[in-house]
Amino acid sequence: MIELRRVSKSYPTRGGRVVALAELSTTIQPGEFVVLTGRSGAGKSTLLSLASGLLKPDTGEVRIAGRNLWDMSDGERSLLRCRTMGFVFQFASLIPTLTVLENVLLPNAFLPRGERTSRQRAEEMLERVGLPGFGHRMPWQLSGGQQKRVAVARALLLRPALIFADEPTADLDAETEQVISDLLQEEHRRGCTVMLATHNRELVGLATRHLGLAEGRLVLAS
Amino acid sequence: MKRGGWPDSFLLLVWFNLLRRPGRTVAVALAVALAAGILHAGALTGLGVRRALAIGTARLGADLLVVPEGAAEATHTALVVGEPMAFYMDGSVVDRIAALPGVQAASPQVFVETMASSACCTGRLFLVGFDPETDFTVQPWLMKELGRPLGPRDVLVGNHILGLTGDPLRFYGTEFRIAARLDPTGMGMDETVFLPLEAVAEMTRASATLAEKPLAIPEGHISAVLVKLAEPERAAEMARLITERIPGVAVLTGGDVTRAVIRSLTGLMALLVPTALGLAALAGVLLALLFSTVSAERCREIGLLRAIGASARQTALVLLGEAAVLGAAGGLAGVAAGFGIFGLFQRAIRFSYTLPFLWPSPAVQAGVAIAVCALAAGLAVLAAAVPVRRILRLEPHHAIHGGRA
Repeated sequence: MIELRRVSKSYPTRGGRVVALAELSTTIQPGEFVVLTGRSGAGKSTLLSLASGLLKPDTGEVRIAGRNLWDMSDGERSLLRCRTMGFVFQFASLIPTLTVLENVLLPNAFLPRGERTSRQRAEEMLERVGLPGFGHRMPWQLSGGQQKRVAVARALLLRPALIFADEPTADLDAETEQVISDLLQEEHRRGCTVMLATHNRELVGLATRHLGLAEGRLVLAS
Repeated sequence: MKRGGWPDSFLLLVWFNLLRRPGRTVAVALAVALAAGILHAGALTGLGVRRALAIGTARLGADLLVVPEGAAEATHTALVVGEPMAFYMDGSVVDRIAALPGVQAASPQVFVETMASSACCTGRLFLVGFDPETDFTVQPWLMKELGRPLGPRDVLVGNHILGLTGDPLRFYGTEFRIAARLDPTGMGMDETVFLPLEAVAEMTRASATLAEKPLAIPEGHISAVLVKLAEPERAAEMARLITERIPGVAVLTGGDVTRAVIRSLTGLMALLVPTALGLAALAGVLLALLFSTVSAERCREIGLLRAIGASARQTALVLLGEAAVLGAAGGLAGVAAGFGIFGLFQRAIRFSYTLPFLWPSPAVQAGVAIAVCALAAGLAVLAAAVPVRRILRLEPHHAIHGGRA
């Protein structure tokens, strides 16, 4: 369960501080598929980052499974992310000096030895995203859509309990969009909690809960 | 590692980042190598000169060296680098010196400069004729190591003279054989051929008929007198006494040789040290700029690593590890280049600055090489630390968005 309690975040700009989220409170129950919508700058990405511990709130609390994320050390928070969270970003988020397979296996590098998953699992994930046999290629040898699929394979490698997806289908061809959408649904059916920020109205259909944001505030909860 | 697999440690990211960005890796390593190379060559020079001074001056064996007035500088060059030269003074000087109070022994030497002409000599070498009756520097070594005095056609050669024991050497038409070889000293002795005074006299006489250009040494003349004192600590005082009592001579003490060498070494270091420091500073600035640029370029990549589960510490280890490996690799390349360049130009440096040189022991050389590599790695880590710290202070969310909100 993710709890956000009166969470605020603002960013400094030349014209003064801009409020990205203002005293937002919500609870995401295990197994929910939450879709966040809103215009650019509404605070969707900020909310995802706050919920996952990638960003520290100015005020308020973020709790995961009852523990305040910001009472933890950086090492504990990082390990929690590694063990329980998968991330899919809008941009092609691969490490350019690693092969496709190494990119998929990357979360393993930050886990204690006994918790690591196998290379076979990584190859299965590549198959699931429709890229079997692509493991030895370098990221620059792939199209933008293929790179996004690899990023999804990496996000799902360790069977995360939480998936954070920020505009996962932006700028993608219809086929890749469908692959990603299907994978997120499958993971949700497996019991995974998904938080997804999007402009894509079709993805809203996947939601068990739809949160609308405007100027850092919740304007819709259905 | 097998391509496509995954390493046990996140630190192997360092290798991937270095090996798969070869252009950047080579450019930075070269900048570090340049500074490290100069630093290494400078350290080798300093240590080599000091070692040669310690061993070479001890082996000179005499407290004073008396030469004709005006020949002191040439003698210093001959003593330090073995540059061949010849000058003469009346042989009666030996007895006058020996008669002075406080002089324990005085032994004459005759210097001969051979010519690099196949019609004359094996090569251009510095020959020193010594008196087996009175010598206290070469003779004791001969009796201990060879077990006999030199024969009329025997020579004793310095460590750098080419040829094996028994090989012939020809000077002014007379053929000699190498009887023994001295241990290296790093001083002019290594380039010198020693033979008995009688052999020099015989060679001089024979040269009139055997050599194209006969050797001309005035009858009864010598080049230098080696002096052993009863109280070596009074060398400076005795040197003054000799120049006062015997006109037309100059006196060199061991201290004079050491001081002159240290002056030359200081002159060389005045050039090398600022160059090495300047290049090290330049390499440091280059590294800082490069890591600054690279860190900005890799901001998103670093944010991504943090999102995937790398802690700030692990991420810092990867980035600083890259800097350390780059620095150490550059240092290693610099050490190798320093050896190569120094090996090539060692002789030119020695002769230009009149410096003795004896390679430091393998242990010292290894220590210097390790120290240079460690220094290069440390410098690289320091240079990278500031930009890395700046980027790690960004929250992962901001790093992922390229430093923006």
